[in-house]
Amino acid sequence: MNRMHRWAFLALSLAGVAPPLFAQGTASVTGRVVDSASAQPVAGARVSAVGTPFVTTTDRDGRYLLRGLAPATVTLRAQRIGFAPVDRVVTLIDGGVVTQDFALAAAATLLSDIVVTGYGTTTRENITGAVASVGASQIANSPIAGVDGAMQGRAAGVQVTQNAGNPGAGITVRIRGSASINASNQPLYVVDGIPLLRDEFSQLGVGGQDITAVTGINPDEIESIDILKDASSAAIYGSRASNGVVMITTKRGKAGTGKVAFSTYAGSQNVPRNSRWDLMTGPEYVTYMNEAAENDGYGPLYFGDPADPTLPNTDWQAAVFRPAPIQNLNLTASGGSDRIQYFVSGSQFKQVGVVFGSAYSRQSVRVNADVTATARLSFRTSLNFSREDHDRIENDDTIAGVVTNAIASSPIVPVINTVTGLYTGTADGLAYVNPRAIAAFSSAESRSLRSIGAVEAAYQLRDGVTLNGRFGLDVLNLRDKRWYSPRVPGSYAEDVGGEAQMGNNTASRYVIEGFANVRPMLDPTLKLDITGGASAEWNNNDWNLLDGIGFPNDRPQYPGNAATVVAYDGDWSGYNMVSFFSRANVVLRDKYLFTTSLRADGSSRFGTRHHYGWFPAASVGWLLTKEPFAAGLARRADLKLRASFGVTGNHDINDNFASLPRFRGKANYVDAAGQAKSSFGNPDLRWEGTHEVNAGFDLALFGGRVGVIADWYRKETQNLLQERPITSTSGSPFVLQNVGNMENRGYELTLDVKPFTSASTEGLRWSTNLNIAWNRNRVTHLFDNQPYSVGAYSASRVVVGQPLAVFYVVRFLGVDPATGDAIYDDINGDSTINDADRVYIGSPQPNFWGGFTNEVSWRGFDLRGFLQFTQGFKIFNAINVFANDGGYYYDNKFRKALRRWQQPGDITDEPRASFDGLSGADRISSRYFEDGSYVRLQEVTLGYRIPPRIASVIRLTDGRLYVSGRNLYTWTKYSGYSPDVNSDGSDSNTALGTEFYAYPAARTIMFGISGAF
Amino acid sequence: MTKHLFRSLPLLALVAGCNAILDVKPINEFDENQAITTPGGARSARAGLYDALQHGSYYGGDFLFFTDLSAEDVQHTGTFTTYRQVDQNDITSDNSSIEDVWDALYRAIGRANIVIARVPGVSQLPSDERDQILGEAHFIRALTYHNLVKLWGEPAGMGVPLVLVPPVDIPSASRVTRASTSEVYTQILLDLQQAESLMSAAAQPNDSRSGSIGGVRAIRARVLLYQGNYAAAETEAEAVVAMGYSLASNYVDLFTPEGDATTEDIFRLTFDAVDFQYAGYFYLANDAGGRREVTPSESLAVAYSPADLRGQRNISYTDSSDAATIYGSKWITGIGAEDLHVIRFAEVLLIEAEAEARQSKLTEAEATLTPVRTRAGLPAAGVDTMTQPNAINTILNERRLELAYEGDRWPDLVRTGLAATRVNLTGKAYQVLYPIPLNERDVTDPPLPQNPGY
Repeated sequence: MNRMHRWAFLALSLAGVAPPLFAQGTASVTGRVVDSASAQPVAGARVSAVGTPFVTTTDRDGRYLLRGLAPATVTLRAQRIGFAPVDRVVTLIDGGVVTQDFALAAAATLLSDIVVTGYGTTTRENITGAVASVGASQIANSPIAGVDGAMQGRAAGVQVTQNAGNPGAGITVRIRGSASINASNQPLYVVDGIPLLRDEFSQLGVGGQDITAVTGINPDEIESIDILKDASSAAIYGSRASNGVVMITTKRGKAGTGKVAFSTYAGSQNVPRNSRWDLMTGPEYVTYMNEAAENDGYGPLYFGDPADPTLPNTDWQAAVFRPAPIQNLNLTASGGSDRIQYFVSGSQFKQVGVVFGSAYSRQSVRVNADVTATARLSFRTSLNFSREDHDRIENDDTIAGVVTNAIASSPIVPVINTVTGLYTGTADGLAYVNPRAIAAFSSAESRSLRSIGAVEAAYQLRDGVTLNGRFGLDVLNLRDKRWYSPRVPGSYAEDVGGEAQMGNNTASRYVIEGFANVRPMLDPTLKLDITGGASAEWNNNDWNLLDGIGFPNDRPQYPGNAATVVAYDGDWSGYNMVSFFSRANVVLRDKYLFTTSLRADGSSRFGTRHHYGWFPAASVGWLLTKEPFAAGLARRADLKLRASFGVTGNHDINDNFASLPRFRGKANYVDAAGQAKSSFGNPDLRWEGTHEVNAGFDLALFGGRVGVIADWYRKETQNLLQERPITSTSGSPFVLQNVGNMENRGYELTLDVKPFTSASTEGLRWSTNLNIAWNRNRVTHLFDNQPYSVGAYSASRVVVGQPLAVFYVVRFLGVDPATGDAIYDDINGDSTINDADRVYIGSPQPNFWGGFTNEVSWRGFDLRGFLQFTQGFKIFNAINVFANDGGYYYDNKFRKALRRWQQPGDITDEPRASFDGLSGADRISSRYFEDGSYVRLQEVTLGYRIPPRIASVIRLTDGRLYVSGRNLYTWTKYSGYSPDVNSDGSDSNTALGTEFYAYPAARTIMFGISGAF
Repeated sequence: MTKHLFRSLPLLALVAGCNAILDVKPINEFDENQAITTPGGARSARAGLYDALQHGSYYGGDFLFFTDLSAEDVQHTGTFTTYRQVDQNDITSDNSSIEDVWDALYRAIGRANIVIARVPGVSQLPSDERDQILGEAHFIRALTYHNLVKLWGEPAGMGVPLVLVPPVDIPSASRVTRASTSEVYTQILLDLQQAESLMSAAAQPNDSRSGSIGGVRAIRARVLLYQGNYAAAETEAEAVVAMGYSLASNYVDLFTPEGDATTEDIFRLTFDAVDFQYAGYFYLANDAGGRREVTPSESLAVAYSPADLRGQRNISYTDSSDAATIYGSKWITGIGAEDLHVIRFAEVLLIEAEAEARQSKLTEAEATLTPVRTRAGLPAAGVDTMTQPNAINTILNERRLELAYEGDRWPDLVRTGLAATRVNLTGKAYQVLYPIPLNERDVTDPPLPQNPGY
């Protein structure tokens, strides 16, 4: 930012509009807020004096108190998630206390929710962008480590892919499609105002699946999740917002008598038989492989006699899977006085993996406190400490994996050698490594210790003017420890006497923010809410790694005992940011809404020419049904029309110093320290920028019984950072440059219907929610518009005019009935099948996806069912390369190969078996791709509220028992464990929808109980 | 005015503070312009040259494997489809491993170019040390251009791009063109001549782990042989013989970590457990600590007579009763800490013998060849009693047996025109040259001309 710009910006953000003085007085108003249906108190309702900064929330008994108001006639408004707001006019007199009670009716939740927007909150009614909200109840008690996974199917336009079933594994989240090729596509997570560290910090490569820092937050501590989807909502987070922003708000204490609450569940997970890979039995395998050998001129019974009764018949999948327990315990204490409120929570989550050797556990403590120091000054703290332990196993994309070898291992080798009593290995005929031996003897542990916290102060400078200061941090230490046991037969570790790795990685983020909020009262028909401020952020990351081989014995050890060091590392990296931001909300006559925001982000990641980026946004809303001409309609409906435009950015590149031409050390030779050029550098590097247009409407019908939120958007991302290939003859093959463009466009629809809304808690209530999103992704420009292939077997392609990671392979036409050879589409007619014959055969990006939830309660029972679906996408099942290759590799084969061609005249779609790979069965082609569309019964929960007269015996309130099943059934044509697969892990942008020995998705059945004292 | 200035001081401080916050520099990386300005910087840039040769796509791995895998003596038995293409001589221009080899070779050239451009400016460096470093850079550049032209250069046509100075920017770098093969050979010989003259003033390294005059002359002998300049090759090889190198008494010594330093080595690359090579890991059977990605062929196994100590060393079986369990055992650990020979004395003798035979000096050839066979436990070959073509074939076969897995078989077949007779290239004779990588053609302007057939 040049100097002129900076001055102008500061003036804009700080000067604001001179606010009128709010009269300070001694009037008070108090009262109680209850549910109109049950007459039960409504805690946490927001009560405000409209048009003034006076606002408070109700305590556990539904009581509130507003003090220090000026004598006047004011409108009091009470509002709470799930209820329609109620306005009451009261006349206040100096020194007097007015009592005003409210009875709230459950109503159009879609419009009355409080929504967290970044540096402030607003109500759904005033939202002019596209914001989706997920409530605490939807993600609590989810048997998934991170909030990212718990969002799956909960919000329109948020696409969540579990990738694999590894406990605590990284998860792929796309908000409105992929917006980048090389920078991250994952959203920004903001927890209580502090941007969360989200990356992977582990230095262990255990195959495709990673772990990310998103799992550090306990989902049970979360009050709400608000997902800022469009650019106008997210632009207040500027350079990091182009993938959307997930605002996480944790629970806080309320004034009132202290309450101790608990929730716990325990359950069991398994891999359902019908979801396992359909692999050959021992006799089937021998028959098939014999035929492959004989077809190519090897002798008969090359692999043995399938009729031999002593032939082993090992089900390797059954050998590595186990029923595995999962449990969670959460304890909270909350309460407080008018001046101090607290929320203290402790939890333990433990998930044993369904595959031997894997597990995840997390212990977490949260202390949230709110302190009103004086009438003008208040503080709040939000502190979280957690520990996570990942017991990881090698998997996905690796031949050393446990699941990999459960699929690949020959069924005619037993798990245990009956003579020696030891695990079998290559000497017993395994092509690779015994998966049970890996799981039993080798280990890979990643442990995180983490604190996430914020301390905030708010000072009311004068009426309508609040100054806020915030200091926040996210500090994480991740320790990796790995042991490759020499007891694994046929492994590298066996040959070298064991291998041990240990690594430490400490990442830290410190943020200081200051912002002012001004709500001048200019005119009763004009409400202004202006926020402006600045932020500075420091990010540091340092790590070390030691890897050694050769140990005195076969017990697990640290690398300190190694005979030889084979790898070491130790370095630092970091980046800083400086930001200025402002936003103005204008509400005119309670029906015309305008929001504008502007953020300027400076990042050290970019060259001095482009340190700063500008991210403006504007949006408008029109509450149509408040117009006189719509009065007839307004009796049955509330309708708001919205439109927005905004610019967001992405600076999430792996290399913090990509703008600099550099030399790097560690180019060593013999004992001499070496150095060599490591990067050309690009001083012109800058942000990826996304321009997004959004239009939509919010509609509530029949007193809130039907709610609709609909959106259309078009997102154009420019200046995509690309590791642009340059001629290798220059000495280095790549340079990072802003070269690509990409587009996403789509529709989103959320439908909320309440067919039964009994006024009584005992009566029948039924609510149903459907969210669905369509997105079209298209790469619109690349460096020189040159396409390139990526991913496993280069089957994915980045090419202009197609969705990112579209699959590009030759097309399989069938099997020649005469020869049994595979026939492929010879596109260019040159009589040879090669890369020139590749065609686009589908995309891993779905046509549409969403979720469907039904909740019914009656008397003490509640029932929830949740379906989640993703439709219209392809999966590259790369396991076929080894398991449906005609018998070229020794791996076990899919049973579908049993319908192979065997003699002239056979009509089949499976080529003949060929030991030398001569039938063309092993070519990467459309034969290896499957439709991934699925509908999953993700959750069914049946709960029972313990009747108060029983619960009160042990002084229990809100007691509830429930039984819940997760991932109960999946309707899909896909042949693997789960179509929700991505073996390249959460960090992959361009290799999506690829199955390569993924860890299975578990089915979970669990019982839980919750209550409070 | 003063008052205004005073008021704006906090803002000025803020602005200065912001710029300071945004100035973040790496610690383990250095500004290019300061990297080679001191003697220490020059020495570490020299180490970086050898580091480039150690790369997993150069001598440390793919380059070593592919120069055998393309030929008949080594097969692919692993899972890498890019290797399978090389084995089956069915390479496509987007083969990423071939591209990695190309990149690795030009990375070495790029580093040499930077040393040649920057080291003369390091004024505090003693001149003899400076000349030695520069000589080694010319040597490595010559060696690498020869490796490139062996695989990509048409014998009497297009060679490879000749880049001799670090490019100033990307647009100018992208305007490279393919020099002719003869131009590349001219440059190789010029680099070797510069290397020799620069090194002659300097004290020579006391071991074979870095470039020396011996290495320069041995590589020159090899280059001359490839050019078919047999008289010059013979002379150059004889000059190397006169420098006092000798065969290691035991063939096995050459391939164990204990045997790293022998009198036979002229130029070797040293590896250890950290800076490791993949040779053992890729050749050894799973049970022996490898992944058996590549395997000697049956035809190589039978080419060794039972008495040949080299065959006993190089060929092993997991199950001695099953010929299908064959694996390469020249290097016997998967750790990769054994040194690799870029050029050793046995090859110089083989060069000399072949050059002599090609000039019909069969008696001399017999005398030159015999020590190599004697060490292998074999009698003299009797090439002096054969016809010239038979003598040449016998010497080529001796190269095959002596230098198995060391990256010579495929270039030998190509230079002698035997590729099509030893490998099935029916309908794909063009596979005798590797393709210019697709990506490389995409980013050169105009695109580098492809080798015919791809």
